Amino acid sequence: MILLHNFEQAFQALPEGVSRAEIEAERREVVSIEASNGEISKTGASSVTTIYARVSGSVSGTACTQNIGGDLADLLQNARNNGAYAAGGPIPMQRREMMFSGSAVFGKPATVSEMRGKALCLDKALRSADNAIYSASAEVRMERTACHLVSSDGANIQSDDYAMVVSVSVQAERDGFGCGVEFECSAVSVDEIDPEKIAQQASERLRLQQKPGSFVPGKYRVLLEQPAVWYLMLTAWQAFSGPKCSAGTSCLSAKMQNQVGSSCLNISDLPTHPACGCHSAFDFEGTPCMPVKLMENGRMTGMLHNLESAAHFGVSSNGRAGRAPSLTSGIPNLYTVTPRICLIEPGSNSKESLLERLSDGVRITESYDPFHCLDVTSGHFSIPCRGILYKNGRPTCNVSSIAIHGTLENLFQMVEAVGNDLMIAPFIMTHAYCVGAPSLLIRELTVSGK
Amino acid sequence: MLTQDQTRCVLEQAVATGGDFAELFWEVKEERNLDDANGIVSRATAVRTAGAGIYLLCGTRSVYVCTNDLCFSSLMEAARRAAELLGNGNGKPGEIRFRMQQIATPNPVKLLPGSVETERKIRLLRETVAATAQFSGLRQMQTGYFDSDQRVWIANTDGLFTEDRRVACRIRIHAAMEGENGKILSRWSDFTRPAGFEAISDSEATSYFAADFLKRMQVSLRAEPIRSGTVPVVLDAGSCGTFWHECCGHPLESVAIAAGSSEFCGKLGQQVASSKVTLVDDGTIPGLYGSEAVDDEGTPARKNILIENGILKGYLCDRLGGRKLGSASTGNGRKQDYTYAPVSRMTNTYLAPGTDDEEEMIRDIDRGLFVTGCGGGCGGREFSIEVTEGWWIENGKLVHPVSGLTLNGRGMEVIRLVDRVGSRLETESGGYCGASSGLVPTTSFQPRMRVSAMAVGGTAE
Repeated sequence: MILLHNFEQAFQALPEGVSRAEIEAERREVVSIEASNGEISKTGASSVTTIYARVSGSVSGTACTQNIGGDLADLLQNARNNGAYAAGGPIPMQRREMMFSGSAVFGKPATVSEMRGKALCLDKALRSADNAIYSASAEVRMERTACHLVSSDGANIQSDDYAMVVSVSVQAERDGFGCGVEFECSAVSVDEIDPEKIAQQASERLRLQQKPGSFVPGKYRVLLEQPAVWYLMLTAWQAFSGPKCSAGTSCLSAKMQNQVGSSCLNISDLPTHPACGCHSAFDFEGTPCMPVKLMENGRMTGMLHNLESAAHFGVSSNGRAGRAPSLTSGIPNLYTVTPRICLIEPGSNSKESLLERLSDGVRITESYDPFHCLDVTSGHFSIPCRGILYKNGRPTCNVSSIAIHGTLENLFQMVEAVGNDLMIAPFIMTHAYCVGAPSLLIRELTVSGK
Repeated sequence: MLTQDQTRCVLEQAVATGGDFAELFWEVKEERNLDDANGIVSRATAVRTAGAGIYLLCGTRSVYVCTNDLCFSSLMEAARRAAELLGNGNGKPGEIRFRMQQIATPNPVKLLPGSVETERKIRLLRETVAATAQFSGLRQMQTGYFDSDQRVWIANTDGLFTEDRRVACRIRIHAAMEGENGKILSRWSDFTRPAGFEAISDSEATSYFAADFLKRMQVSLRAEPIRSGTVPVVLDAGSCGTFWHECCGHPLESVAIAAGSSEFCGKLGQQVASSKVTLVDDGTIPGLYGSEAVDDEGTPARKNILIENGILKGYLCDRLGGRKLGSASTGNGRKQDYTYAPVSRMTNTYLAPGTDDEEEMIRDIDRGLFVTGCGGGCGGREFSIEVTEGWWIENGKLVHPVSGLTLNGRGMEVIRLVDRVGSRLETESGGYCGASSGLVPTTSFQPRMRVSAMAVGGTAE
């Protein structure tokens, strides 16, 4: 746990014009061990603590620092000084009785030696999973996130979360065709990392890549596999962002309770999930992270809220206040909402039955640009991907450098069936949230390529 | 920063278990940000980041340990941790005798942004926002002022002791606009200057930038869908150089070459592109966002020719990548901040000018695409870039705007199809490239050029 020293003293004499203040310390510790081609190739350890202050009253502002030995009273004063330039009004702060209470611990730490053993074992499993693999690396990473939030009206809450994350990268060549697979998965403890299962998954995904044939652009039935849906969800969650919906800049603004997807589609954002090593007890405003149903049987039923956006819609916050990096800064200090584990809930269909139902169409196995493909305001997307062309339920040839096009709402409406093969990807490039999805059978989608 | 004696102790501690090289990276960064939402300053923040990283190598094994506890004892502890994580090595660095290396920055600063009063920055922001008042259809308009002042000190067991200061100022506009047809578009753009406040203080320039950005959005709102197909694609001079960043730059980084994940592996000296292609990465060009005196390993920035007349000439290397490929660093070991280990990254990447006529490139096309603005993208075996602005060409004429497309393909296949390269090289103001060592400032630019055939996608019937 992080100990914030002398915060009581800092709260005793709040800066002029400030009636309430909060201080939150967040420490992120990472230990990583990478094994590559039979030996430990790269290791790392980091410990970074950032302290955030928010003050509210006739002057309201925020400040943050990485000076962990600094005086907290000075930090509150800085927040007040910053606020003097801004006319944003009082900063909403959660009432103490509505905050999470006590302290929460999730996950289990691992030793460096356990992590080394697991990384070497996974690297070996990867290299023996497929003869075509000529290069492999496996990183086992322990990510610890500890938070301590105190407020001038007596709140004092803490959480400590350990997550084990595995990153895999393999490169292979088959019949002169080079291909590769990179993905991440998570576990609650190092013991739960199953090298054979992960290697099998890498091998299966490699086998889906073959020398591509030609492709005729047009409208196709499409099976979107999990990696393609993950990349879509990395941005698509923003359509459910309370601040975006209140500003009218989400394609789902004003569509609450409307049917915006097919009746087989359910989307949730969860603070915890058995298939994911990451957890959240409360957000930076101290609100407990509640499970949120964003879409139920195709109907939009929820949004992700912080206190401000919740107030706009006259509801309670569901604990999604989050910070995003503000352009250049390594410190995420842009106040917004962030999901936790945002996922499309699994259905009852096996992958085999979905492929059978695909009949003639494209099985999209991967997409490869997570962040530049979806305009959340218009909902328009154009996503580069690769996959396999199917005829009469049988694969005919691989296709690459293709792209799928449409709008988010239309895609949601076109979901014909949902697979039972939910997979959750931790922290893909965000270090902030996880996304999860099963395979989705889409009735019709525009696909370009050559 | 620690004293030289303390620095020596930390480095010696780091190599105590047999590392053959250790480096201390020390960083202090100050950033200020003002946000304006619909004409009101909604937020003012100041952030000071300070931390250090210890980088340890033994052959091609690496360890990176970082902390923001900067007292000497904590750094000694971090060095011990690094040595322990390395385990036993066989390196024996000699006695460390520091030599100061001073390299002039290509981006000198006259007026440090930290010395400028906040009121003056707010005035600049307001004057910039005022230039957008004439535009209708704005659903949301957020304008941000940002400045950053990063100082880094780098010392290593080879005796290098150097420093660099990287200052930048920026105005960012993020707008959501609704067209007359009810179509809504959300987009952002940056006016960036890798210099002091003097380079951004002219509100005429920032106002022009803001108005131009919104005018371009208005054009994009009139975009019409196109039919999918394979057509010639012309990419305009300037920031469309993102194409080169994604399709060649990333696969030419040593991190991709060493992992075997690049199609350029083992192709040095071979024809990999059309003979019209000469691709350069140069971190020394004054006034460009990707320029710096030294990279984040203290190696002086330099000009690297990657492809010359279609022949592959070299890769971009950091120290570790160089070791893996059997070559020296090319001055491309870069990272976002002290929390990352350095990795080979681009600086200012550009296609060298050719001799072809810009107008003829379009006039010559029956059906094709003219790209005038690119968003982000990604690189790898296959690359993609987002087309934010462009025009559909028919019978050699621009007939209607297009927007929201993706160009993708296998890099080495596409660069063989470059059949025109114009003579007018135009730079761009730059942005961030995100990869395994975080976000680093880069530019990517080009003269106007043409790819004879690329698949483009659209939703038109």
